Amino acid sequence: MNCTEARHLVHAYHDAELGLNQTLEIEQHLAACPGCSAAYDSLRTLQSALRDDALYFKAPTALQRRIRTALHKQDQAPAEWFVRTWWQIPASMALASVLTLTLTVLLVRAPEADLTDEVVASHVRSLQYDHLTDVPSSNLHQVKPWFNGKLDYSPPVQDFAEQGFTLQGGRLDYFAKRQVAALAYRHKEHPINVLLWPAEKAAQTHTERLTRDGYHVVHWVQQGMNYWVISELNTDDLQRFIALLQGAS
Amino acid sequence: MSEKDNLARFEDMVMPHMQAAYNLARWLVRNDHDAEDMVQESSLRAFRFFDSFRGVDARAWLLTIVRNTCYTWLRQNRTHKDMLSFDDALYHSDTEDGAGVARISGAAADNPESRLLQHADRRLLQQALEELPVEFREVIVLRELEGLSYKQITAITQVPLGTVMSRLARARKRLQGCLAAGETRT
Repeated sequence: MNCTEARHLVHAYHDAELGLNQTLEIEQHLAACPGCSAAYDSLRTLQSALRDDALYFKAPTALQRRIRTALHKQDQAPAEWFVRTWWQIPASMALASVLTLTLTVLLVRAPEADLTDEVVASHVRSLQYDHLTDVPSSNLHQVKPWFNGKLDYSPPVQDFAEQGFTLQGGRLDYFAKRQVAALAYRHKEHPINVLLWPAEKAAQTHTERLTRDGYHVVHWVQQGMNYWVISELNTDDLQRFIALLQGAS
Repeated sequence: MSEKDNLARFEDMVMPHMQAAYNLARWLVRNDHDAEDMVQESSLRAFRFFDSFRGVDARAWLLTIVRNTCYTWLRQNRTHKDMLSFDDALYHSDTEDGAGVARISGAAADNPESRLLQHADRRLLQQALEELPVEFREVIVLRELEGLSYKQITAITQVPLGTVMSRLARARKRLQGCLAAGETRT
């Protein structure tokens, strides 16, 4: 890589937007070229200055309240009123209890099945061209800080390249009604997605294993984090990966 | 999906990004009052279209609506100031890489003088950013202040990746030039 190329690509490198090969190439160039290295430092300094708190305009608190009120007004639909009223129709205590119980059971069961479907859909979507990562880097020191400011938690990120499970990068995903961190790994040619977000209770749970649409889905809670792992990888190799995730922290 | 679920889902997915919406609007229209109007209008519009939103990136989706709303407003309310093209000659700098920037965020001593200095530089940077042409300003805000990816920025601005990258490089160069020029003037 020459200086012309490097000066052109230094912006994308600074923004963690280069693919692996180009990242390695430019890093080699920067290590040997003080001029281009200074250009890179300049970008970092500029970014640091732009991230000054005073440059980020905060919305007045009244604004969010006003918007909420306006949305609630828009939201008053006749159908909702009907649903509320229906529950108030007099019925025998027994009937009401049975209905409540059935509804509760349905509500309790549905989310679990929903989540498995959701994780499969999320995995499949991520495999589309260019959807896998927002930050394509095998360097956990680039991937982990990338989530700062984008999520209200810092996901633990590990690389298991030595054991054959290479970190490909990270991305933001939406899962179980919230923004979550997604980490993409690869074992040989098989992609693996790991979704993780803070658990409500800090307790460990046992590991649940399911299969859906040909994918293996594994989930558990560990050290205050929900983990959902999905891959087409065979169960033996996948289990080795799970063991690494569960052991490493 | 019932209306009630829709609002709850909107509150969960979209409302957390109101701050980002306001910051972008404020940088685009450059005053508090109109920025608030833009955010309010965008939020209502977003809610109306929320049924059709099946994506995962609610922030980028909301910011696209905010950006479009602001651009419509800018077209209708263009001031003389906006019409002026950016005068490169005023901000020509010999050092391509902006020596002036280093002063702002280097390891500064924490004494009254250096704090005054930092304050002055911050205002210089704010002014420089405010005076960038809007298409350069928005990529800086989206990339540096909001931390969005190139992919997200192309989705929000609806311009090709190459254009985003070149605008970003040029905007950065202009900011660095402004700051260097500011340093030599003061």
